[in-house]
Amino acid sequence: MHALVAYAYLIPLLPLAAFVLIIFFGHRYFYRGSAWLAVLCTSASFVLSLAAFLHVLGGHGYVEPIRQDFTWIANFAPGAVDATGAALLHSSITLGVYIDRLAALMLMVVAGISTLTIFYSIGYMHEDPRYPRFFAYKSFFAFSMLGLVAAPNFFQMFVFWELVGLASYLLIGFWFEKTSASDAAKKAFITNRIGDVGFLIGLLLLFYYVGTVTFSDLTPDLLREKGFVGGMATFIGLALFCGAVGKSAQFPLHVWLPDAMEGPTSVSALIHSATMVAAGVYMIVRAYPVFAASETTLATIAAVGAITALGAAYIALTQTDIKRILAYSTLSQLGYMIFSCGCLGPVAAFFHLVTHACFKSLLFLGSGSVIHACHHEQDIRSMGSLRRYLPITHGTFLIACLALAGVFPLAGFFSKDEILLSAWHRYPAVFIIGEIVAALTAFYIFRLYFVAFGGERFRGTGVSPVQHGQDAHVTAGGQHGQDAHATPHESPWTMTLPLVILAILAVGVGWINWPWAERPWLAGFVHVEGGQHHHLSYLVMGVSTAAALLGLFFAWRKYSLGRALPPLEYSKVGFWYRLSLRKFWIDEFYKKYIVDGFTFGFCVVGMHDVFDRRIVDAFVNLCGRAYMLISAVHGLFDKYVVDGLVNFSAWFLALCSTVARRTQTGLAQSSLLILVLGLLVLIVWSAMMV
Amino acid sequence: MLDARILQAFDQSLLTLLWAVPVLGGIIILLLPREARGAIKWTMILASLAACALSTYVAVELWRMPQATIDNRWLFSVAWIPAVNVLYKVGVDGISGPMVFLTGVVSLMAAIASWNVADQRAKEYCTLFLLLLAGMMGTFVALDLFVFYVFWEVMLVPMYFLIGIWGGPQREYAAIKFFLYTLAGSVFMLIGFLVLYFNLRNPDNTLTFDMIALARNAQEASMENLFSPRLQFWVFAAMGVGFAIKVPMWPFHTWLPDAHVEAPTPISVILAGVLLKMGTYGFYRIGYPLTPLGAEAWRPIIAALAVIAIIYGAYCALAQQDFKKLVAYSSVSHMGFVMLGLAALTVNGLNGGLFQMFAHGCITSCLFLLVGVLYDRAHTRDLYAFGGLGTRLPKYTFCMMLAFFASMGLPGLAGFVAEFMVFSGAMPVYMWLTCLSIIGITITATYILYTLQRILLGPFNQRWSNLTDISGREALTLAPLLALTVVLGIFPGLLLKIQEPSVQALVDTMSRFAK
Repeated sequence: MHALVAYAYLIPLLPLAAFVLIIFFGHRYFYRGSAWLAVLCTSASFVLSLAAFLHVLGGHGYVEPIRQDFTWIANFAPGAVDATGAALLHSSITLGVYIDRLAALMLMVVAGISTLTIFYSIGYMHEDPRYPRFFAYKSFFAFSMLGLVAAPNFFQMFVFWELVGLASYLLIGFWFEKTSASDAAKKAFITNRIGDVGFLIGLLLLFYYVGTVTFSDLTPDLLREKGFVGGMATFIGLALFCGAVGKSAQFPLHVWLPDAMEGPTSVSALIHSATMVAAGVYMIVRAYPVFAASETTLATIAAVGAITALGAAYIALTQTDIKRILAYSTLSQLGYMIFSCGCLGPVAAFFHLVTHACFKSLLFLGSGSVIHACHHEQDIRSMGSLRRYLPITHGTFLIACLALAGVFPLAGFFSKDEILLSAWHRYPAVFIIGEIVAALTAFYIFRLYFVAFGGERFRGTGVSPVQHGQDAHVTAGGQHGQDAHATPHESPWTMTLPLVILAILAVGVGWINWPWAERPWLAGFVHVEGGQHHHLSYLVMGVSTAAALLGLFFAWRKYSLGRALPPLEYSKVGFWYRLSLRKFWIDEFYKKYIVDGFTFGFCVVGMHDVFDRRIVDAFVNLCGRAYMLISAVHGLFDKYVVDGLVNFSAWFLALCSTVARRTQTGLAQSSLLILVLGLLVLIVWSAMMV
Repeated sequence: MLDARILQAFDQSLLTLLWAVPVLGGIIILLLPREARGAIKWTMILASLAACALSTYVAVELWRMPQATIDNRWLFSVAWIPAVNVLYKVGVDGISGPMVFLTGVVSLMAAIASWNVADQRAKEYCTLFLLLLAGMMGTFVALDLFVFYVFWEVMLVPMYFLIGIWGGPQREYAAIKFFLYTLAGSVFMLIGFLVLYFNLRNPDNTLTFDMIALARNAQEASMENLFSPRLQFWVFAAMGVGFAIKVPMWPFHTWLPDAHVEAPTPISVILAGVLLKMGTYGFYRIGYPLTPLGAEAWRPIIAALAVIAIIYGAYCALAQQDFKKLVAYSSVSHMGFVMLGLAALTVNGLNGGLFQMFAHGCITSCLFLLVGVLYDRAHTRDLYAFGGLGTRLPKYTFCMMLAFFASMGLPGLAGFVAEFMVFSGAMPVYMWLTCLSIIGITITATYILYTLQRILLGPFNQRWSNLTDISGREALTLAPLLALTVVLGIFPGLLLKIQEPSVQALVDTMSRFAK
């Protein structure tokens, strides 16, 4: 295994190779083979990541992180100085891979889940007319995400940060004939760009303030030495946090994630739940000292995370689209991770990132299996008793639900407990919110479970207004159209195998950070100053277990025992229900006041264009006209004055010559007369002179 | 021994060949019969190819041995009009080298793309085209203000006719507007040149138009307070107006949308790809070194105007319904980055600005070619008329996605490197203005994504069911430019290596005059 470490730089490059090969040659030469090529490359990346992980774990002693890089821009900002007036530590930009334990574990998560979802897509995307392109985009995503995770510095992270955004754009809009899909892709990109503005500003300011943006250099000691405190530290921290808010879909930039569910479900499983949306959390954990340098930044992070966790969980309570429920659940869980970062608990956040990646991608793949089985029906009210038809999907889905709800001893229990523990020690208010969210989480996920998998009969598509079926036929599998009311069927093995693997992980992955161990394993992955390891508290454990069971109990009582269905008529529901159903009207607010309202956004656009034509260009044309006017005046002057003078002189000469001609009669007497007259004049004149 | 002498002679005549070869091509075309359209067009393409090959050679040699100063092995100087001290002097360094290369590549692509346009009055078109190419090459290598001015004006005349004869419905208005606007700028520029000529005497009290000598004299005189800051302020302003109109800087930009929309596709490509760079090049080559104190005084104003151009141009692009006008306004926005980098006057800023000149040259040329592809087939440029072309035209979609994302500044493509370098260069100097311009990139993303969606995504518009994908010749014009965009995006060092020494030298010179 250690021999493989020398090839660690191939971890992101292998999927890139798959992307290039498939995009240029896939459609023509290896249509079905493109999927296997993608699986091969990402699984090879996984093996390399595993080797790197085992290497940096290094038994007992500390092992230097793997560092393989090259200089991308050699002379970057030469001569510039940092805040203390010293020369910058790094006047160049390097790209490459930097793999410490944190990055290695994350690489394994990314490469592993990429492999599983790509494998799953072999069955899921089987009938799609753009089959090879899907795997090309998936490989491109894997490349970008692995490059992001392995980034040695903020520069590279930003580069790949944008590239994962592109991959996400391409995959959300994969079925771009649907207006809703292309709208969602666009919305995701632009919303992310808004966050990226902050990221870029923060990154550049950090570079000039501290003199380096290399992660291994950004230690608390260096930051203190460079005077990284106070207002500027807060500003930079918050600017960088903007990037995380965009990417990890935190309030108020969360609106793109639910819409991103327009993409194929295996995309949602990989990008919009497990990996890419966690990049914001990863960034904060990666450069934790930068954020921890300011109390204000931490408090803001905690507040944003807590608001998102609570709000999204509340919205998830009433949604009926299976993917949207999971999307809001993702928002809520990301909120957990973010507020944990704000509570000096980056280890807990990272731990939750890993466990969440397993059970949430399982939930999404399970829902994909359900959607596949129900002929592209996504409304849970049209499902029911699926446990009978889809035994494997049901079993794995139940495990994932229990893991998400945080039931002992599944993965979610341990990581959520760690998060709540850190909140308990830092901001008790956030702890209370976290416990409420835990109860809500158990409620909405088991509501989904009981409505879709429970019950005695399969309700079929007649129950709900058909709004998804129509879209589905455009894309994957037109032949499903005829038997839309047939009973569901279990998915092929290429789809169920990843479910089983992920289910095993969703059970066991929480044990890596066994809280009863002498020193929990993950604690050594991130060094936090001031955030000492909290010993396990049975109080916190007890409260969160009680919260989860409470939520589960209410969901069971209402939707399993009471056989209730979410209402179809929304006019009858009360305000609090509508508040959740309409997602606090945030989308409507943005649409009205920011996107296409007649208020700010497009008004400015229109004004610019009108201003450009009516004022700036009109002024130019006015100058032109004035010029023409002057030239017209000049022309008149030229014609009547200058040229008139010329003509006048010609006329005058002509006049003179006419007069003169009269004298030239040709007669001798006349000449003689003139001669005599001339002589006379001369004589008179000379006499006068004397 | 002989070999060395031949090589030296070749080196010294190389830059002259850059503009002489197109002129020669033009003369050959004039000698050809009017009916031999094929031969005429092939002559144009071959002359452009020769110019492109020579410029590539220059770029490769500069990459092998980067030159910090301009008095290097290519420098060639000979008295031209001794009565008024005019020299024929040409040279190339890290600042003009990439521009020469860009001119060669973009002109060759434009020449190939002219194949159909040039069918109409082939002889005139091809001659004017080659004259235009000669003017552009000459401007970038000229090292004497008089020669520079001559080439600058030589460019103008063919451009006027190319827009005015082969353009769209409003071509005469656009051509006259372009001509007069630019000419008005040139007049101010000439006044500036003459003031420099009469004020900056050589140590031996002779007058000169030689840029290198003038720069040296200007810098020495500035150090000794013999060249007053007030005079420099006005001289810089006079020359700056000439350059700013060409860039175009806000608010001198309104000739650009008209000229672009009316010009035939290959001429739009030249206009956006090369001509706009003349303006910024003027600042690098003349504005900064010859009036350093004037530049110092104007820098904050330039920075502010640049940020206005970035945001304003992007907003205007967002409001356009005409595809070509959208690309034209995006140029206003993108050239703002060059000016911001220039105004910052840091190594990163100037490097980024130069990189943006090159990147924008490649990317915008692609965009205009792509607009042309669509317009040739559909005979409309209305953005709202299309939709869903992504399903039918895979190659076109690929090229357009690539070019548009490059224009947006996506990492891995040349536009990102340029913008990133400019931002990083301007950040320590003008923090708030830079933050504003970074906010501007969201508007860029917005108009680009809206355009992509309107043309490529969504349900397929059946009206276009017989639209064909890009042809071999069109692919031939797009491929090299896209390849350059990708290669420079991944390996920016290739270009940075050429420009860095010269940029560093310019920054070192200018830093002596910083307040």
